[in-house]
Amino acid sequence: MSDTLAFAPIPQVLSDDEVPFVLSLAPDPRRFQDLGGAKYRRGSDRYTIEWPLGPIGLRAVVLCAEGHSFLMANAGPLLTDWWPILRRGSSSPDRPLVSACLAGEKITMQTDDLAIDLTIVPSGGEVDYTTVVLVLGDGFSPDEMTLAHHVSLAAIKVALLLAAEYRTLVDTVPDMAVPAGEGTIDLADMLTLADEVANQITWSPKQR
Amino acid sequence: MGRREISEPFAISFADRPVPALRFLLQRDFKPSGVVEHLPDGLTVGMTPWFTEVVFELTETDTVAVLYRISKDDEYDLVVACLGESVEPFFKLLAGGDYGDELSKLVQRHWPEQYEMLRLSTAEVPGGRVMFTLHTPQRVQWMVADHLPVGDDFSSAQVTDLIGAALQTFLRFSQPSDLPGVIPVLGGPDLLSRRLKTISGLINNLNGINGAFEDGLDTDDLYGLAKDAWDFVQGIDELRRSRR
Repeated sequence: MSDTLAFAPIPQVLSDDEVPFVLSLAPDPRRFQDLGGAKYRRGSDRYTIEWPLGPIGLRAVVLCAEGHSFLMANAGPLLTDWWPILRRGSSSPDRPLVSACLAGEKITMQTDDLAIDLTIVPSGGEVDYTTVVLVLGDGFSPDEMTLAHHVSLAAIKVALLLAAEYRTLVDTVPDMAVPAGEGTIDLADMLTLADEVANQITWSPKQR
Repeated sequence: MGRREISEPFAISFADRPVPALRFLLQRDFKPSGVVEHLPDGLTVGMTPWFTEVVFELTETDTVAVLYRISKDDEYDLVVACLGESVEPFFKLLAGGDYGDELSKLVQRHWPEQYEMLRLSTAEVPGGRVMFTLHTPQRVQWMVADHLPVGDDFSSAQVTDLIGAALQTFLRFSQPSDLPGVIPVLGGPDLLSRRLKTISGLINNLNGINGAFEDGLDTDDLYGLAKDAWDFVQGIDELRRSRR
């Protein structure tokens, strides 16, 4: 794959502040390059990896900032208001990922032959969404891009599992509609979808 | 005097934020929400960014009372009992131009506690017991609440008194045909039934408390549950008075 996976040929259709939510609920009409089953789009300092799953997509971003490249999955703003309360409370077995994050621990995701350590970064400052991050290296070299391709679903799964932990936390899901293409979807339905999709990804968190 | 004195209770709005609807005052098989802490005195609290949920055991059964503490302003918090959407159908009649003035007089005469809560809320007089609405995305719920100075705790006596007031309000507003004189004002039993049905879109008074059941409580159970809880709270009050 390192022979074909390169940054420059990817269609430059992203804006340079774009970190899309992990779950794409409607087709993205912008041009893409299909590599290894994923759709690639880029800006000047980032690219997205979108794994199509029927009518939806699962998205990760690789961003280069200050000489370092990071793989990220955007878990959305649902936990943004909650982080201050979560920091004051004790850890809970209902929220293993959030509890690990607050304890300063990384999340180890594993398959039969791979394991990586991901960091959950709570929203804060101007960033109003929670992210799942892996430091890749120092740029968009083919090797780093290949690594990102292979482990992106691990970051995506953690972001989806954070949505499930949000549901456990809030218990009664707010009666909100979430944009989905030209329409909307109920937040409760989106959380159910996130949970179902997460279960289809073979990466799994290592028990703490 | 009249409906204008009570027709515009204040509202707290979280409508533009991902805030869950509050749970009805009485709950069975209850799971607290938010970051849950079990306090040494048997209380369970659930903290959320917008309110704190406090759970009280009412009886020796699996029924609990759920109250909330919500910040109102720099001076006051509100201790809140949620009645869901059960108050809305009758309140619409009460605040409306067709029957509001006459109904307001009846409520003032026969249900003075509820009249005073609506009056204080409409006048935005701080410090007293009030009825108000809380807006979350796509939902408007009615509350009975006491003002509490920021930083103060509330006593068990205040809790039972508030629960009693909330249950009384729930029982009255969900059965408005019990208000003396209401049937002639609304045009007799048939018209009363039709008007309540038209306004609430519901079949009869008891079904008019539909919003209270959003947490899965059974329609037939809840009215009896509220009455049982009311008797329980009254019993506590009598016990407290007898000890003075």
